[in-house]
Amino acid sequence: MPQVVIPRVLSAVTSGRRVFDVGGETVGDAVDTLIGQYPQLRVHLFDEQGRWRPHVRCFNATGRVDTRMADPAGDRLTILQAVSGG
Amino acid sequence: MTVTLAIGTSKGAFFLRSDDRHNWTLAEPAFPGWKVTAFNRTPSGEYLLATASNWFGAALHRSTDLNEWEQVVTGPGWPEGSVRPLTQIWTLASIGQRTYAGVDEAGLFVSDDDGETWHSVEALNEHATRSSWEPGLGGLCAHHVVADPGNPKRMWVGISAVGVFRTDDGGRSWQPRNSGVTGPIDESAGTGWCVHGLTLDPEHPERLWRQEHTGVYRSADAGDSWERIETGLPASFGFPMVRDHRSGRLFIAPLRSDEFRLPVGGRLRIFRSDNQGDTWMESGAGLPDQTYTTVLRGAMVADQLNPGGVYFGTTGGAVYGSADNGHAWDRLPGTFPRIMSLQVFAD
Repeated sequence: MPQVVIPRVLSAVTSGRRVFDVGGETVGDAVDTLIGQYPQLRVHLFDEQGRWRPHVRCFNATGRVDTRMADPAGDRLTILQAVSGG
Repeated sequence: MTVTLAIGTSKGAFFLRSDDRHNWTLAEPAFPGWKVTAFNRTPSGEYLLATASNWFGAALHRSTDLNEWEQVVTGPGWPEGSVRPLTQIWTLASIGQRTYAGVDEAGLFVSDDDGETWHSVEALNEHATRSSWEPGLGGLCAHHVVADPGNPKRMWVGISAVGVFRTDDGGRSWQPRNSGVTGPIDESAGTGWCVHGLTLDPEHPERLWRQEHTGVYRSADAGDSWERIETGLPASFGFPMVRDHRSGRLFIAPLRSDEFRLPVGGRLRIFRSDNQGDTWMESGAGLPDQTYTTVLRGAMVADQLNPGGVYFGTTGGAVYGSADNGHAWDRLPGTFPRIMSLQVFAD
């Protein structure tokens, strides 16, 4: 069962929680499970087209996976606020 | 009576409270790190607060006490699959039992359940002129919603850089209302006016005033026509337009031209009019010289108490208030991030 870690600033909409145990084998399943628990997160992670927001990244132990949603989630997914522009 | 001044900044919400409008106490911030772009109180008394983020998009939050907040799951915004992004909720306004949200990318949304669910005002959002709508420097945004309190079917919405639209049928149809306002070189599209601020007289709602990119204007016929009113002003550019309804006094914050956008001569001043905009004068004492910060369109508010209180926040993070309708100004406690929105709640 993977864990998902979200950026500290997003804990404003998850009652202060940043680390979640979620179900799902793939990256997509794990993120969907998290959003199922906290539907408020969807608008913060994805745009109106269903794409990851351009300055949000998701990593597992092997590297960046927001572009590989069918990959295995692994033990831990970390969603990051990209260092964008200084 | 406790007055709460809600301060929305580029990095959080801050709340100043006072029982006498002179001695203020600063509460803990809310939503640190988030842009806080609008506040409102719904017909049943719930508070609304809008956040935005360069990383995480825009959202709406509700609270019963300005302390514990819960994000609305499906707030005002474009539906899944839309090519229009929701980048910011610019304004929230309750009119009768309905609450409206004006957003960027420009659109108007309405809620009939205190902000829990929202739907698009299609007749405006898909207006026949939509293809000609272009953004201003601040974006393509619906930023003002005002209504005739005696006739809630009549409303006006200000959109930049598009213009003012009016509905007389509760939002089923909308007409541009910008005649007489200096705007685009080619007016044939019916759009291209850059309205910044908009207010009306609730007792005589055919009277409106607008701070436009190109100057200061009023209408005596519900927006059908506008005339320029700038006598006494040091500059005609600016953003907010606020009215104390009890006295009828108007307040604006002139800036040196759209090229420079600075207080004239470094003197941060509010100007007021006591004669419907016929003439303007510098409003009171207590505001600083050698100050080069400005007042954004959502960052000035009147509390509508007696006597009227007026407050504004600057891009430099200072808040000034006058408890005597613009005669004496005080710097309120705190220095904040860039102030984007200001709202006042009195209980």
